[in-house]
Amino acid sequence: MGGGIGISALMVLVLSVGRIVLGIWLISAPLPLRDGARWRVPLALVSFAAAYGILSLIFLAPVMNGTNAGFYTGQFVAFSLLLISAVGFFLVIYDTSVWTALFCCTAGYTIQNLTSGATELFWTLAGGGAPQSADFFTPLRLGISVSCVVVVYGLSFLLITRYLLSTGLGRLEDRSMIAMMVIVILLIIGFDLVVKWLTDHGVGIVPMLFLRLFHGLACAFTLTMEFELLVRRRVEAERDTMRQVLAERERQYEQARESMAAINARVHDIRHAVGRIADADGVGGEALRELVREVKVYDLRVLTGNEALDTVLTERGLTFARDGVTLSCIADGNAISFMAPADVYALFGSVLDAAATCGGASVSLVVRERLGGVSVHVEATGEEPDAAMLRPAHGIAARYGGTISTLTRDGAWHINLLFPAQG
Amino acid sequence: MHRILIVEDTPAEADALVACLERYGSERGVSFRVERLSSALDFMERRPSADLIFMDIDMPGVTGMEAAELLRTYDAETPLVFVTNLAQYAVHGYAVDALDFIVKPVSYQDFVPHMDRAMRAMARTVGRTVAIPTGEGTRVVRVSDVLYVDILRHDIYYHLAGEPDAVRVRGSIKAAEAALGQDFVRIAASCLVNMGQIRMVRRESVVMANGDELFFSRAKRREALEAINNYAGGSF
Repeated sequence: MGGGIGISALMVLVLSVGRIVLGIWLISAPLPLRDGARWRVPLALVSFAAAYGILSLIFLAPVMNGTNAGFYTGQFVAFSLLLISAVGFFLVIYDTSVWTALFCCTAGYTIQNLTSGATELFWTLAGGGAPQSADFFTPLRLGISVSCVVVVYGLSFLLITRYLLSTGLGRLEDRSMIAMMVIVILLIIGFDLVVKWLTDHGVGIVPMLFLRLFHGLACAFTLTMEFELLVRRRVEAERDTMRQVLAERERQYEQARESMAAINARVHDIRHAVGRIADADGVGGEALRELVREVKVYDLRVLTGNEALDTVLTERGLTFARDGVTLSCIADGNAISFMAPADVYALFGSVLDAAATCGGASVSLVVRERLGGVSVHVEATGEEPDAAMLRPAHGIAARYGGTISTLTRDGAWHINLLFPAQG
Repeated sequence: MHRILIVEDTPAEADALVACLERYGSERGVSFRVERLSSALDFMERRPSADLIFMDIDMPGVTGMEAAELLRTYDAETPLVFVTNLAQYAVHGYAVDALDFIVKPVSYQDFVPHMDRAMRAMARTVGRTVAIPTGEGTRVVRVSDVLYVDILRHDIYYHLAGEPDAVRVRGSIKAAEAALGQDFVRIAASCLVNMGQIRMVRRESVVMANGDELFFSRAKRREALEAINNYAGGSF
């Protein structure tokens, strides 16, 4: 008899611990394990089960088999401490912060509590609302238990875990919210016990139904809030990254604009100086006039009517000239005035950099109004460049409703962009 | 046989261009008849017709840019390529709808990609025709005059420039697509559009030269926009 109780107590322990661990895993699945997971995981699981056993012995055994308030208070203390100990064991396994551990444990515990609440509900309903002895191993009780686990855990996996696995969990910083969650789950544990106590004291089926329903909603609400917290954090992180990219673009453009202006001013001065010398009587002669022509040809300024486009054309024109690539452009800068300067700089920079890797000797660029919108055509002799180089261009074009297409033809790579009529 | 006109005041530069054309012609198996003019003024007085014009910008007296402006007042079609040592001036070539420009001194290696583009542009302006079998007999129309073709019940309708009534034909839009060629694009399963006759592209539709607005179907939109994009950029 004693042996039977021992075995069934052990099975209850394994099943209860298993449900909590599985619930937490549903949230923590994407997190990285610490080195030495092979011994850390079993160690943490065994320790957690031991903690469960010890807490039960301390807080539940003395008041076991009662329906008095002491038994429920004991459970509350035991389960709360169990949740806190779970955070510790969690950190033994996963390489993450205390806050992320708190987040995962509360969310996992909520899933477990939702399941447990549902099980109690159906168990009581099966008994017609009357209090029943919680014999875990009757086929009916086992059936209800397993069904609830399958449904709740399955849904959680489909709705939460799959999302987390595809996006990752990352580090959570919203401490006040996580602290809130811990308090909420403690309230839910307490509430669950209150409902159990009331049910055991024959509160009646209708109030019990409402209380259980409320408990289920509280669990679902907590999970939703936790999930919301994750999604919001991700959106904020993305927005921060985007802001950084834009600021970086702005900075690069400003830098390029300033250096091009400085170079242009320098070339302008040299041209005038050489011109003055050449104009002076009898000095230099043909050689100087030749130099004047040369300097004139190498006048770097490209004036399209759009300062950002001028900057990027002048800048890339210099590197093209160094590499022996001729860049010819026909460009109506005014046509692209609907774009922010930093976007113009980044878009054309990305396209011209891609064209530069084609390896040919000629790149031509045409920007003109076409079909009520703007057409950009860049053609470079040589091989097709790596498509990844055009990623910034795709992003910027999409923001202005533009279409990008590329093709290779007659040994040349073409990229066309079309921005439809604005408005 | 393509008629090429070179307007260039420096004989050596004109010779270099002719040499490039000859080599290109023999390599690609195409023939050119080249005419040379030595000043923009000459060009403005004689207004010679050609399939492709190479124009120097920096000429004494009247510049090539001014000559091009005049050209566009009576001829919007003929492809124009500037040849210049002043890349800065050519940047504004869009104002006279210049196809391209070549920087002097012209090397053959540099010339080829520009000539490829010019050949594509010439191919577009050649006046191909298409035979439409109507109830009253076969009509022959210029392909460039076909605005768009659509289906209504089992008949297909050719909408032609300058004609208020569409021409009704029995047949399939697939056959029409094959006959009309690469300047046409399907923007919906039942609508085939001449890209050369599009006045405006909107996000969801195109407006044709006669003002008709035609909508992209969801399935064709992306593909059609890409084709129109490549056409507008001059890739074919």
